[in-house]
Order: sequence, then C-alpha cells, then structure tokens
Amino acid sequence: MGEIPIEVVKTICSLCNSAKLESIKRVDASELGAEIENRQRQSFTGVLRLNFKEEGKLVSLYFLFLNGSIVLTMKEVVSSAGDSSFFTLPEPELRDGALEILIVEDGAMSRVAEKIPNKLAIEVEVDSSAATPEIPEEILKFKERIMADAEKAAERALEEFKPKLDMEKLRNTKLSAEKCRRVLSFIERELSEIFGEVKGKNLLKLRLTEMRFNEGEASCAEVAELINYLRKTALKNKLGKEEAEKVADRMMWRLANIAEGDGGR
Amino acid sequence: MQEILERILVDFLKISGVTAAGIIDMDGLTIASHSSRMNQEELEVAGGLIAQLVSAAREVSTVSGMGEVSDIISEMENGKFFILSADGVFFWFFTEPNINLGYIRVQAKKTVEKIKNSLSS
Repeated sequence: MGEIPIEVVKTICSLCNSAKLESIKRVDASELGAEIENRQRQSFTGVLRLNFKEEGKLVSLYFLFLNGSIVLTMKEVVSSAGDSSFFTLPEPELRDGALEILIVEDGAMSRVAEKIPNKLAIEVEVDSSAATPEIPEEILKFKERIMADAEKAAERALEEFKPKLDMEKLRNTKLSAEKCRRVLSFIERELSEIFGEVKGKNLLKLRLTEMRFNEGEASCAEVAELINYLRKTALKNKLGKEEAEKVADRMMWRLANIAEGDGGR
Repeated sequence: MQEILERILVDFLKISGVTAAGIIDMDGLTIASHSSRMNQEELEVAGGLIAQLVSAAREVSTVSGMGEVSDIISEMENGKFFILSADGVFFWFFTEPNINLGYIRVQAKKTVEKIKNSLSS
C-alpha cells in the first residue's frame, strides 16, 4: 500500500462530503462484489464507501467510479483520536460492512480523477458494455472545468441555507465599545491576512478617524459603511470583484453575529 | 449502523474548528463519539452532561409550552457547543471560538440529515 498525496485525499473527502447519498446498506463480501459489478455495468459515476471496524478502529474503503470504471480504490484508517491515514489499494478489497452509495456529478468526478497521479490510478477489468478506453482522454479534456463545477455547487448549497441579512435592522443597531472592538479586531485580522499587517491596520485607521468607535456611540451603519467602502476599493483592487464580495460578506456576517450576540443591543 | 454513525462524525470533524463530536440517545448514553482533544472517558462524561442539559431544556420547553427542543447553542470563553435533535437522538459538537458560524450550521444540518438517514435505513 502506498500513501496518497494530501491534495488528492482532501479533494476526495470534500467530494464525498458534498455528494448526494443514494442509500446505505449492510453488505457482505459477495454482495459488495456484486454491487461493484452492477455499478460497472450501469456506467456509475460516484463513490462506494464501505465502512467497518477493525481492531476497534473505523476503516473505510473508497471505490471511486467514473462512467463505470474504477479510477481509484483507497483505504482510510481512523485512529481513536479521529486522525485519518490514507492508503492506496492495488485492487478492490471485498469485505463485510456498511456500504454508502454516493452519487457524484460526472464533471466533479472527472476533475478528481485528473488529480490522481498515474501511478495510483488502477485499471480494472470490466464488462465489455461498460467503460471505454477513451476515458483517460476525457479526463484530460475536462481537467479545468471540474473543480469549478464542484465549487460552484457547494457555494450554491451554502447560499440556499444562508439566512438573509436584514440590513435595515442591522444598520440601526447600536454597538457598545466592547462590540466595536470585537468587530474591528475581526476586520483587522481579515485585512492583515490579505494586505499584510501594516497595510491592513492602516486601511482601518484611515476610516476610523471619521468614526466614533471608541466612545461606544457607533452604530452598525458606520461599520457597514466601512465594510462597503473596503468592498468597493481596497478589497476589489487587490482581490477582484468576486473575491472581494466574499470577504466583505464575511465581514458583514461577523458584524451581524456580534451585534446580535448580546440581544442586539 | 455504528460504522456509519462514526463515519458521519469523522467527516464532520474534518471541518476546520470542530474539536469534538458525538451522538447520544435520550438517556445520555453515547452511541458514537470522536475527538482529537478528549479521550473516550471524557467523551462519555460529556455525553451524559449534555443529556442533562437537553433534559433541562425540555422541561423549560414543556413548562413554557414552546414545543420540542430542536437546537441548543452555547457560547463560552474558549469555544462553542451545539446540540441538535435528530429523530430521537442528539448530535452534539464542540468548536473553537472563532469558527465560521454560518458554515458550521449548514454542515451541522446536513450531518443531522445523514444521521436521520442512517438511523432509518
């Protein structure tokens, strides 16, 4: 067994977390073998993940399918502390356990397959009606598209869950000096990460001179204006519009979170 | 489906800022738990104490006529903890103080759905 590059592991874990769960069922080794064959015939794209306990540790076997072909089998061993080690398996290992069937979009799986180094990818004999030899070329073809697809899907899902900010209510909320400090500390940290510590602090100071933060008389409106100012200027110039929007939204959410933290006073 | 529940917790613990997670039944018995910072005994104790908290919240809810308890969230100096109801069991987790609250809640809701699915399958 060889170890798998951390980048590949992260991508696969992220893929499994965002995948749609088709079903969960308990299987024995022969049923797992049959399930794998079925999925090959059906040109399945997704992940079969078999979970079982071995010497008190949770072990998961991943079978990654792209259009019916297994592109990688991987073993995860979870320690009692929750840390995971990942290993490649040269061929599918058939075991008893609880099987999760995870559906993944073709594009997202192609992108993952592309990240798998050639030496780790496995060739599995499949039914003649299943996978075709052109698959590696297709993987290359979709290389750049796939990652973006998965990220967009994740962002859409996040957006759907996100409650909408009541900006009018937020702007009228008064901020105590303590809350001001917390908000500003968060904004400063974000800015420092983007611009470096010195410039990050200077950006904040430039605006703060016009405000009344230290007297505890500022309202969220002033902080919101500061964030929107940064959104349209420094952040946009440094990160581009799309990324600037994300950073500014994050600041706005933090502001709302802190403002409402003590009952919105 | 012990393995699946553990699998769900391990996946959840991969989220940045989550330090411990577990699933308890109504009596406070731990069904599954994982943490990189707490040992098994501490996790069992945490499960029992969390069940007491749920019980107290349910009493308050009954007295005030507010219906079933769905979530309990507590913020502390060095972290936060969350308890979410999941069809007869409770999913709980601890986080660091400066987590992305919105993202964690989205993931927690998804995790509750996974727990429900695995318990019903």
